[in-house]
Amino acid sequence: MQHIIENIRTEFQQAKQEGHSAQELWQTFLSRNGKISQAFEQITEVDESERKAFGQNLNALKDEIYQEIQELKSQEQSYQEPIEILPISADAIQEERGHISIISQTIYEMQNIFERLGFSVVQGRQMETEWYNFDALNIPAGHPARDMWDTVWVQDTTETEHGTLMRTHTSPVQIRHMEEHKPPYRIIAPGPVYRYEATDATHETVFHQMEGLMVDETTNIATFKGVMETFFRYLFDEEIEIRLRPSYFPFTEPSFEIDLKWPESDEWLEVFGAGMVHKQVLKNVGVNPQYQGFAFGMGIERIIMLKYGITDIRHFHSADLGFIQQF
Amino acid sequence: MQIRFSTIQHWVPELELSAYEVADVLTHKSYEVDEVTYLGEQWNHMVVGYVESVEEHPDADNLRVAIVDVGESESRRIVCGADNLQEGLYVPVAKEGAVLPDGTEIESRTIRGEQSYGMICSANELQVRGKETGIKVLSEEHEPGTSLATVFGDEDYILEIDTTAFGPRASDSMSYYGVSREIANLTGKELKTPERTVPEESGSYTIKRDPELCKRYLTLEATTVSHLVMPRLRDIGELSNSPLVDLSNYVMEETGQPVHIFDARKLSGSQITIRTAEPGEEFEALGEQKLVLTEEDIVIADEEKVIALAGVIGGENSKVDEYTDSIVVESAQFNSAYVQRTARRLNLLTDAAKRFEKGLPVESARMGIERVAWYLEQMQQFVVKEGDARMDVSEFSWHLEQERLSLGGITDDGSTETEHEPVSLSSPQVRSYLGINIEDERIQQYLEQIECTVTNTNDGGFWGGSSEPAEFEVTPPYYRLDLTTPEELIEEVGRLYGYDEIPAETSHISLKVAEKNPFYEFCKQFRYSLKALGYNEVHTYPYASEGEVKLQNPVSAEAPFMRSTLRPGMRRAVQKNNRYTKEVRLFEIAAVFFSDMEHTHVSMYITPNANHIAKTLQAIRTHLHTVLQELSVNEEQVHITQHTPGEITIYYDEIELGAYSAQDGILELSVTKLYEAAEFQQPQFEELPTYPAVKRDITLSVAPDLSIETLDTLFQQYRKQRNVCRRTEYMDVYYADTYKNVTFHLEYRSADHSLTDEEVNTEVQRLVEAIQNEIDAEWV
Repeated sequence: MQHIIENIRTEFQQAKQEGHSAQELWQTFLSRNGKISQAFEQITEVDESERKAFGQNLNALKDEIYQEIQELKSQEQSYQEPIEILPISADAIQEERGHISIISQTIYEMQNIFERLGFSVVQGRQMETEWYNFDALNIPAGHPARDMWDTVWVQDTTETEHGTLMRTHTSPVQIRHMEEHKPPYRIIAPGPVYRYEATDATHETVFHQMEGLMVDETTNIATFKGVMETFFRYLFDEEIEIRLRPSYFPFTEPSFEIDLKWPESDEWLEVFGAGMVHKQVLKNVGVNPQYQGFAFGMGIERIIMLKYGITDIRHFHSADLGFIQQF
Repeated sequence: MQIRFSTIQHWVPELELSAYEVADVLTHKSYEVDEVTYLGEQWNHMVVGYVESVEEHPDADNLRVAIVDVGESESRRIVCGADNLQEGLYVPVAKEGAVLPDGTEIESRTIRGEQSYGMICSANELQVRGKETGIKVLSEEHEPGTSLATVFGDEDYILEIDTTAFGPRASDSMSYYGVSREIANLTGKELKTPERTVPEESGSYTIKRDPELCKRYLTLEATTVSHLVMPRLRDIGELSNSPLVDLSNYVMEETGQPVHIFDARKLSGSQITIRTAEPGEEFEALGEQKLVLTEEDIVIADEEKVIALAGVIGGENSKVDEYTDSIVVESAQFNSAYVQRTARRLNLLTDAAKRFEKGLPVESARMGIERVAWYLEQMQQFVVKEGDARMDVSEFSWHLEQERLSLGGITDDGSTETEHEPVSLSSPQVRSYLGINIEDERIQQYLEQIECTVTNTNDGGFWGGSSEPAEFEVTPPYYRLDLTTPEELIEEVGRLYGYDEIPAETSHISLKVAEKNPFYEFCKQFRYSLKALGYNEVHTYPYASEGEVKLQNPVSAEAPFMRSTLRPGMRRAVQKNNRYTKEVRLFEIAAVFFSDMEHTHVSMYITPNANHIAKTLQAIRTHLHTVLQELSVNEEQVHITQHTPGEITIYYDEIELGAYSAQDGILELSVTKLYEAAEFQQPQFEELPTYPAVKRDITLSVAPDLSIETLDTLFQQYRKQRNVCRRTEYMDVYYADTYKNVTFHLEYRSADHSLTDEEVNTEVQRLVEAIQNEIDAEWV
């Protein structure tokens, strides 16, 4: 029966010589109804003593043909003609790329950097009580400093000692966190804040802040400068210079304004406020005043506007894809 | 607050800094100067000219040609039509490049054939005081070529300080004198002592005063003319039409101490009472504003009536007017907390209230009244100079003839000195807070620079030479009411040392691993998953026309609530983007508000397929499925129902998460509820299959009203019963009139052998039978 095997081998080589494609050769020899399968079906006709050898030889031939077809196939795949290079087109892909808003992107970028410095994300309420938003931060009712925050007030349905409001800054998150946890603290709290304002290119009734708080037994102004310098260099990936100026916030003492300067620029840009947490604020939440540290509140939109040269803050809430898809 | 640079120079005569340098020093060491404006800008290319001679214009009867010396090597020929032009006059000349206040740009040009090199200007053209016709004639004191900025007192700068930048420093710095004092302290230059007139303590008033409300109250009496002229007026910008009001405003701007002037003839009796108002007491304030007062307001009353709302505003019934010929000047210290509350409640945050509410030292009240006395004396001697206040001498010359002012006595009631509690400050505390190695001596030096009295209680006593760190007792100067804690003193040391000099330090920060906030991370992953599915994140406004949380002062009248759903915002976002013709995918993840809580919601939108809304729902549902898989949420618990056609409710277990509405194409879910209900599952590793899967597609013909969802559930139930069936998935539907054909894709695989055709056929057969047991279905 050996001749059957030899015949197939010869037929295969002939077919190959004649230029049959790998696909055709596969069909003729290796497919379910191909010559190898047919030969296997004839195994019952083989003398029982030769069956084993026949099977082995046939299998060897099958492997041999398989190898040759594979080789032929890879030869066929090397192209003779260049492929036409088509321009980029959204139609070429089924799905268009989606976008996370530049606000979320920036918050997450900031989170990444602060997490590397050991700051954990903490979330608070956006509808707050007057106590957490103001009183606990040393801004009692009637205090002139309340003028610094134009507040959107909530109509209280019940008599309450303290009114309800939409938080004007992310600082109440500090207070709630310190009330519930023991020091040391190293937290950030990103989120929306609300203001009663007439909107224009630089004023919005809702925008985002990133609150930060670092309190332990040694954190001082030099630490603050170090953390901020590190943070901004990572955020902007440039040798940003940072400058502190005296300022005033009722919940920090001393208080600063922080200005940034880009390496190629001469101009210092005012970016956010910060300071050493006021001892009275620590007392208000029952933290031993032997602890010390800093707090800051960055306007997210402000930083994005600086980074990308955006001049109108109203873009952020425009929900306009023309804006969203740029980032 | 605006302050002229020349005013700072007046108080700190030895100052060597420029206006810009002063602004820089203040900004870095004290409080921010927003802007420095050079006043001379408007006078660029405008100078004093001397008319050397006047020639006739060869070609025009009403024009002449002036030969004018403007301080250049050659005199200029300037064509002029004014009648009062004559040889020997000093006149204002606008040269080419000058821009007149009305915007006219000057260039040299030919007028009726005669070249004119500039323009001689009238008072009107320069918008300065003077006769309405003809050219403005200047005094002879300035050389030709002198800038008109010098002539009109505008060779000067205005420093603009945002009053909120002062913070509590408003109490010592919200005045010309206060800012100048700060500059003097920062630069080490001497501060000029204000000239004062000290009248006799012979005032005819007695003061009845609650010390809790008012620590000091002074009056000064004077008889006066009704038209005085106030020097240095230009400093305060807007003038009133009463010199007495201008005077009191000026003294307040100058010293920081508000003073009020009453018409003496409108006061009754000789006793002035400072008390709280009766509840409901009425008072007519200046400007005919009728106010209703409470016990929280302090009032000033004569023997019959309330004459002023203390620290806030004077009364209509006692105000000075054009007939006033005798006055009572008030200068006082009032309880700042009362003034704060009153001014805010009545929405009367006057310039006086802004100062009183920050607190003023009692010393300041005395200074205010003595400055008023001094200015009253000055006013009768004051000679209006050309240019000095941009006034024309001729308009005011008649004032100078009348000198009828006479100062009366003062009454001074109350404490005369601020009592500061000394503040304890240890030097290690200063070093630990600032993060610098500053020596004890330097700390003391900085505190003394700002006029604090400093003693070191740890200086080794009798034996001296202690090496112990200093323990300071610090008493601030009377005017620094804000220095009451060690931290405030540390701030003083820090700012004088210079924040720029403090190094950026990270080496001592201990290592700490940030903790993950699970819900925050959940929302973050939600966003990233939607982005990967082609969705774009929008932010919409949180204010709504309806909701549970009503606002007292909504930012927009149409939206008086905080939103309790993201749907309306998303509808607006959809509208906004409908100009994009392609399919749009949007989402928002944000807070919504209920009366007793706030939740996080997600809204998702895909432009609906107009021909086949079911496809759109299928897509959005598949997207949600994908997101939940990425969030490791066991999404088998998600069920949907359609109680009302077009409104598809989505549940997790038994909890309603939200709904998809075919009306607007928006899916809204509560992320909070989903997170709380979700069963999270870690991926389970399963050995990779050794044997191939066998795939079959089968089509069942069912009744048109049988939902594919039901069919899908049956398939899945079956799959769970038969291990060998690895996958069942809906593929397609064909709708006919009396039936529909639904195609499912099936995959079979065994863990221990290659399945034969027969085995799979049996499995499929078994599946079809199982389904046929439940519903009417024909295998086609």
